[in-house]
Amino acid sequence: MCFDQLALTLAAPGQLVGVSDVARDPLLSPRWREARALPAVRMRIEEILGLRPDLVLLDAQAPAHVAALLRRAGVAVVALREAATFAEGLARLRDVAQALGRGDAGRTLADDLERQRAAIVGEPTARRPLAAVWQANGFTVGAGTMPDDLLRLAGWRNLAAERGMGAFAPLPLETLLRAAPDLLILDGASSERPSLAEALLAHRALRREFPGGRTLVLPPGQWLCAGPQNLDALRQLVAARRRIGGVP
Amino acid sequence: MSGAGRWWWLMLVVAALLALSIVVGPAGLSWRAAIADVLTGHDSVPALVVLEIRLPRALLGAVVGAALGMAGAAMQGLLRNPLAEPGVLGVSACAALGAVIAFYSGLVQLLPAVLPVAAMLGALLGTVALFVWAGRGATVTTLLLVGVAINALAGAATAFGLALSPNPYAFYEVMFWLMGSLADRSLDHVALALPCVVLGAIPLLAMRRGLDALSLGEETALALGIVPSRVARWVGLGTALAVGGAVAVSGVIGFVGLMAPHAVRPFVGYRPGATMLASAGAGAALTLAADVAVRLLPTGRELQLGVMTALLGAPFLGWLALRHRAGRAGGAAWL
Repeated sequence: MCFDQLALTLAAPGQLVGVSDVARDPLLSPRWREARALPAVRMRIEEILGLRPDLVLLDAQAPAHVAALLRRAGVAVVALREAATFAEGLARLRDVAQALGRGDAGRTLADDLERQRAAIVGEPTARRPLAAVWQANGFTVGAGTMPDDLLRLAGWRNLAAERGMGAFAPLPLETLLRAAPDLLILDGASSERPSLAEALLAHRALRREFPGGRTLVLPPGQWLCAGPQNLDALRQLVAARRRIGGVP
Repeated sequence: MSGAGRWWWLMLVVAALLALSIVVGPAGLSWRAAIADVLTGHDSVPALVVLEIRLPRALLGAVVGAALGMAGAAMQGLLRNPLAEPGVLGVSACAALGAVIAFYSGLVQLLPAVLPVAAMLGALLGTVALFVWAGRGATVTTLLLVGVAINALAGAATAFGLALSPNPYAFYEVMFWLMGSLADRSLDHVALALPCVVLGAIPLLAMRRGLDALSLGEETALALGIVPSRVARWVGLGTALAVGGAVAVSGVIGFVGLMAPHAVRPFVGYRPGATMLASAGAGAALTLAADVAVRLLPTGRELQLGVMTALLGAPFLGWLALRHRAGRAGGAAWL
């Protein structure tokens, strides 16, 4: 899914023959419009081979037999590890560009993104206010993830990382209130239809403790995967820091 | 012990468990500050945790437990069957199906009150199906078989309905609806459930005398001026309203309605009417205790409340069945 985003950004017109089905979800994928113009595949080898690709970009975490079967079928496979930091994201962007034979375009874009990042983030600040990420089902995002790195770059401390809570862990509502973070970052709705998991984000206690000014809604598509969209997330996080916690 | 003394004891136990439920939680609180802030209406974090998170959970434990306990006693009294219970016989599952349809279709976002109304309609449908299908004076076996069928059908329909939702989280919420939980509920949920449960309790309590008379046999009841079909209609309606209101906010919490009446029946002289009232108290106590237990158990994520009550209730159901077999001499153990 994350490599779909990068490939959609970098590939020459007509170069891609298929993307994964999640890449077409407008709430998860910033490039869903482009993705919808292409056939979607799930992790089924038959479907992938049916598109007769020369190259498959595969998540390094995909089951080993998938890559082995694809290779036996004569398809080149490039297995890539998901990026967990902005810097890794740029490296991955170059990798994908290289694999697609568009190394120059990749390097140019990566350099440009790095320049923009430096401009958005500016000088490091002395006081780093505390932010907490709270997602559906009361899960929070800790160290070793892209959101954690973007928070750090934007001058925030991440509650879950400070408490060593693991990459993706439940944070009880009570504990969240007691920690009293300066900013609460919520997911956007993942569907037009409701779920209990997301109804929790509108709990009365949260509405009372975190009025509009202390919350930021950041759709997962902006900071889950590496890509140019991370800069939008960074801009919003830096703006929120200046608004809320930036004053010494 | 005198009659009045027993009622005081029951109320004391429920009150103590309510207090315990408010004390237990993941965030440590400075109680002096919390109590002072609650009393003065000061909007601090400790006050917020107590009033908006722990209080609703404790209140819901009592309200939902009382509704299930009362409904279980009413069904056992009406059907003259020790194994009758809204959870086991599928009434709760039908209520959950109603709630699921209302919630995931988006209707509840337009009007929150649709949630308990849909759950009550579901429970009513389940009750009617049970009465029509099993019929009057059904044997324990027939009633249980029909109940198992309704339960399985409603549970499967719930899972199917959740799988149809385009929301990626919806499917995993089948655990909440079929196993029940009181985690992260708010005062909004209390405001939804409480009126429905009270509304259901009115016909149930009004039929206390009718149930007492029915326990003596239908002819005796008729001689006393009690119309059995009228009692059945009102008890069915009251059960559906109370169970629907409870399930709409907590999901299916099984076995509370089974265990609570049996726990109190010896203390109230085996009269169905009085059992109903006492069973409401016992159901509240049982649910509160189970809800405290799931929060104290060292599980990674909090256990569903229905899992806890099933751990207690399923062996109890087996024990009841054994005793029933011994009483009727209908079958012997194989091994």
